[in-house]
Amino acid sequence: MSARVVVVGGGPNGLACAALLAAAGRPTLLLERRETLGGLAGAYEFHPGYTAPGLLPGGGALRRRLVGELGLARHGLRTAAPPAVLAIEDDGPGLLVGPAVRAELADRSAADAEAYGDAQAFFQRVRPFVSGLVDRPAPELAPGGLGDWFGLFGTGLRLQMLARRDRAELARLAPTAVADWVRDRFRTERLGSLLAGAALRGEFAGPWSPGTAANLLFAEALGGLEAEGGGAALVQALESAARTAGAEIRTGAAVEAFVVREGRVAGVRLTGGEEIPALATVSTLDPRRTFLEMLPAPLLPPSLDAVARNWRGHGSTAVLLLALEGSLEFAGRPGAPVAAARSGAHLDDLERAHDAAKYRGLADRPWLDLRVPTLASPELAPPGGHVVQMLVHGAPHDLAGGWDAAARARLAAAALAELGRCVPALSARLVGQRLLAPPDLDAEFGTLGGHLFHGESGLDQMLSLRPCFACSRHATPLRGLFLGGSGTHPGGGLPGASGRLAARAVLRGTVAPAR
Amino acid sequence: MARTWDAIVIGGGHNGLVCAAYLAKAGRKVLVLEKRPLVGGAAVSEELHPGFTYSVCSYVVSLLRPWIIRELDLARHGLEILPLDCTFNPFPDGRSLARWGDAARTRREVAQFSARDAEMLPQFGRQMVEISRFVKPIIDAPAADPLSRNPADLFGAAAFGRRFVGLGPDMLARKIKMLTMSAVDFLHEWFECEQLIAPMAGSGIIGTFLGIRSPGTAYVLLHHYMGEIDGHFRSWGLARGGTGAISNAIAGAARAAGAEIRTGAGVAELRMHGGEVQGVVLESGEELHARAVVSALDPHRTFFGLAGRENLPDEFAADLGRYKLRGSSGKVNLALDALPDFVSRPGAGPHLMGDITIAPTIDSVERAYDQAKYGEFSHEPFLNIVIPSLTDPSVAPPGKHVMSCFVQYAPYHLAAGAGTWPLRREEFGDAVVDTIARYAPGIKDLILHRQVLTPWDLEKDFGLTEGNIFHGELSLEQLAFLRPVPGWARYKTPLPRLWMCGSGTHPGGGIMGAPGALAARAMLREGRA
Repeated sequence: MSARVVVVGGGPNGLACAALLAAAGRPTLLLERRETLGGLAGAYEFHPGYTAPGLLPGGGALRRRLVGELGLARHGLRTAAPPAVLAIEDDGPGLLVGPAVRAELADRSAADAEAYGDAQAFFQRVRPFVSGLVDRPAPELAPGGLGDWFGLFGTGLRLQMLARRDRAELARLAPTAVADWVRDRFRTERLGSLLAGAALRGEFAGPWSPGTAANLLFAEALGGLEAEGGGAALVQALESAARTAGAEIRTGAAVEAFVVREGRVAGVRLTGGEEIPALATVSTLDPRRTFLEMLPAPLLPPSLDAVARNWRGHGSTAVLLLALEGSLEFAGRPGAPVAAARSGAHLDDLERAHDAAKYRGLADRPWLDLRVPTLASPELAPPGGHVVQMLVHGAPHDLAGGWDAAARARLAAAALAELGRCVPALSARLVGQRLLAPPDLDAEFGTLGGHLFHGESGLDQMLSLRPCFACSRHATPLRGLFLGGSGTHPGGGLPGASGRLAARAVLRGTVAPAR
Repeated sequence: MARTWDAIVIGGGHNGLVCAAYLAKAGRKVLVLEKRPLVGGAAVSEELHPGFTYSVCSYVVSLLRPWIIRELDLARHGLEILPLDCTFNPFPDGRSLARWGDAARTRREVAQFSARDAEMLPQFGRQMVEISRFVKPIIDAPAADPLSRNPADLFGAAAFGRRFVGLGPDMLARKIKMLTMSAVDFLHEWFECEQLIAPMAGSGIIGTFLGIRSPGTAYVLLHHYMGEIDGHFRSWGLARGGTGAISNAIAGAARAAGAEIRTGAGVAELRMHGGEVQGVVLESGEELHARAVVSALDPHRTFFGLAGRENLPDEFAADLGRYKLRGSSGKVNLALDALPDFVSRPGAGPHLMGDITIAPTIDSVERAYDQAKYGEFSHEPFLNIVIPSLTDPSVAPPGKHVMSCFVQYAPYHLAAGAGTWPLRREEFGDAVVDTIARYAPGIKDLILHRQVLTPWDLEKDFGLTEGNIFHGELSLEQLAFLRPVPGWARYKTPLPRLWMCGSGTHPGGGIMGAPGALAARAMLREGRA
C-alpha cells in the first residue's frame, strides 16, 4: 500500500492542501480533471487577448495564516486591500464606499458615515473571534477527547474576550436577515443594499432571508486582504509552493470514482481505468458529488447519503466576463477608474432577483457584482483594453424551460442593460463577452448545481454543520477519505482555507490510517 | 390616603392574568388594569352577532402550560379544553388530505399522495417528539443567559450546553437545523409530496413575517407541533365557550386568590419618581400607587408608550428600537347559516371538526409572502380555519356555525401606509372569502355576519403594536436570552420596580401563560412585589 496522499481537485483548496501536505513531508499527488489548475480561481481566457484572473471577482478573502504557513510571498504572491466599491445607481454617479472610504457617504449623510464607521469598528473588534472560527477546525459539538474540550474552551475564551455588548451583538446578528441589520443602522438605502450584496454573493437567498447577516459578518470581519492579481495570482503562488515542496501535480486526470477496499477508501480510479492507491484521499469536490457520484452507493453510510441528498446548493448566480476596448467609465465619474462595483439600488431589487430564482425564472433586473482586474493587472488585456468580471444574480440553475441559447442571451442582455444604465459607453466599447450560466459552471468546473461555493452558506450549513457533524472536521466516517472543498468548514469565499484545514486533519490522522 | 398595591399589572390578557394570579396566590395585593371592558386581551370571546360568539383573535389553544392549568386549578374555574382531532387540507384539483389523531388513518390518507411519505410519518413523529422533549423545559424556565458572567448564569448556560451536547451528534444536528432551516427545507428532508409539505410548513409561518422558505421557520413549526403532541394533557384544542373562557378561568383563579381586576381602566402613563416607577396614571387621570408595576403589554408599548423614551437608558432604547414587531396576519370571523360544503370532501364530516388549512402548494404560500414583502396583503392568503361551533355548540344558535379564519399575510405596513388599512379592510375580507370559495363555493351565500380584523385593527382595538399577535417576531434573534433585548430577558427592566410579563418576553407568544408565570416567580424571588 502506498503511503501517499491523493488530493482530488486542483482549485485553491486542493492546491493549498497538497502544498501543506507536501511541505509536511507527505508524498502527495494532486489530480485535476481540467488541463489547467485553479478551478474557478484559475486564469481564464475568454476572448482572444483577454484573460480573466479567475471567475470570482476579487478572488476571495485571503487568510493570513495560509499565506504565512506556505510562505506564499516567496512564491510571488503579493497581497492588497480590496478596493472601495462603487454602489451604482440608475441615475446619478453612485456612491463609492469602502472601510477607509467614507467621504462620499458623509456628503449624503454624516450620521450614516458615522454609523458605518461604528459598524466597521465592530467588525474589527470581533475579527479575532471570527478569524479564530475560520482558521481552526469547526467547534466539536460532540466533544470526545481532551483536545476537543480544549478547543471548545479556546473558542469560548475568545468569545469571552469580547465586550458583553459585542457578544450580544454577535448573538443577535447571526440569525438576522441582512436587510434588517442594515436598516437598523443606516438611513441611506444605497449603503444598506451595497452591504447586503456582500452577504448574498453567490447565495440562493435574498436580503430578507434570516441568517444572511451572518454572511455579512464573515465578509466584513474577514475581508481585509486579497491576492493582488486575483484568484489566478493566488493559484500560481499555491502551485509554485506545492511543486517546490515536492507535490506531484497531474492535470487532465479526471477521477471517476474512489476505490473502496476492506471498508476504507484506498485510492482513486481515473476515467481511463488507471487506479492510484493512496493512504488518504482528500476530495475537494462538493459533498454531493463526493458522496453520491464518487462512492459506490452500497458502501455509503446512510447518514452520509442523507447529508448529501439534503445538501442545499442551489446555484443561482451566473458569471459574465466582458472584454472592453477602453475603460469601464461610469456616468458622473469621467476619467475616474472604478475597480469594483455592485448594482441593486434598493434592498428590494436584490430580493426581487431572488424571487425570480425561487420560481425558477430569470430576474428581469439581475443584480451585479463586478471587478475590473485590468486596473491592477493591465497585462490581462491588450493595451488600453479592460476585463470586467461579473457575477449576475437571479439566474437559477434549474431555470424553467432550460438554459437554451435564448435564455442565455436574455440574461446577458439584462445584465448588460443593467450595467449600461450607468456606463453609457458600454456597448460601444464591448468587443467580447462570455456568459457562464450555472449549468456551464457545473459542466466545466464541476461545481454543484453551478453553486460558486459548493453549497449555501446558511446557518444550517456553517461551521460544525458544513457539510455535516460527522465531516465538519474534514475527516469522514469512511476511513481514508477526507473532505477539503468549499463545501466544508469554513467554506466559500476564503480560498484555500478549507484545504488548509483538510491537510491538518490528514496530518493529525484524525481517522487512523489502516496499516 | 390612597392605598398602595403590592403590584399593579397593566393589561388583562392571559399573561397579565396569570402573573396576577401567581402574585395573589403568594399573598400579594394585586390590581389588574384592563383597558377594554372585558378581560382577555387577544384571548377573548365576544358575541358580535346575536347568538354567535367569536373567539375574536386567538382561536386555538395548544401550548397552555399544563403546570399552570394545574397550579391555578383552572378546571375548577371553568376551563374545559375540547380536543381538535383533525387537520383538513383541501386542494384546488379536487383532492384533499386529512390528518387525524389516529396515526394509521393518517398514513392511509397520506399514502394516496405518496406511499414513501406515509412510511416516513412515524419516524418523523418520533423525531419531533424527541426534539420537543428537549425544547419543553426551555419554555418552562427563564432563559439561560450565555452573555452573563454571573456564576449562576454561567452555571445555567453550562448546564444547558451539557444537555445540548448530551443529545448526541445526530440529534444535536437536527436540533440546530430545526432552529436555522426553513420549514420547507426541513420537511423536504423527510417528505416528497407537496400536499403534505405545504400545509405542514404553513404552521411554521403563523404569526411571523417570514415565508415557508425562510430560514428559521422550522422552529415555529416545532412550536406548533409541540402543542399537538402534548397528548396526555389534551392541550391542543378549543376552549368551551371560546378562547375568552381561558382568560375568564384565569381571571377567576386570580380573583379567588384575592386579586382585584378593573376593566375599562386604561393606563395613560407610569408614575415615575427619582427614576423609579411608583405606580400608574389612568386615562381618567386617577393615580394609583404600587410597590411594583408589571406590564403585560408588548415591549414597544410598555417602554416607548407608557415609560417614555426619555426615561430609558440609551443603550436599552436603541436595542428596543431594533425589536421587530411588524404584524403579518389578520383574522376574519364569519357567522354562517349552515356548514360550508367543501368540493373535495362534500358534506358535514369529522374532517370539519379540526382545523382546515388552505395551503395548496409551496409556491402559492411563498407567493403570498412575496406580496406581503412588498407591502400588499396576499390576494390568495394562507388560511387556518376552525369551525368551533362543531365542537362547542354553545357558540352559535342550533344548526348555525361560527367560522374563524386566521389569515396570512396581512402586512401592517401596507405600501401606501398602515393608515390605509381601513380603506382596504373589506377588500381584504373579500380576498379571504374568495379564497375559501375556491374550495367551498357555496360559502358566500351562508355568511350572516362578517368581522374583518386587519393588523391595523389589532393594534387599535387590542393594543398589539403593529398588529403583531406574538408581541414581537418569534425569530431566533428575538428568542430566549435575546427577548425582548439582550440583557433584559428575565422580566426585569432597567427602570427600577417595573417588570414585564407579556408575550414579548421569554418564551414568547401564543396562549402559553409561561411569561406571566415566570415573571411572577422572578418578582417574588426578588421580594419586589
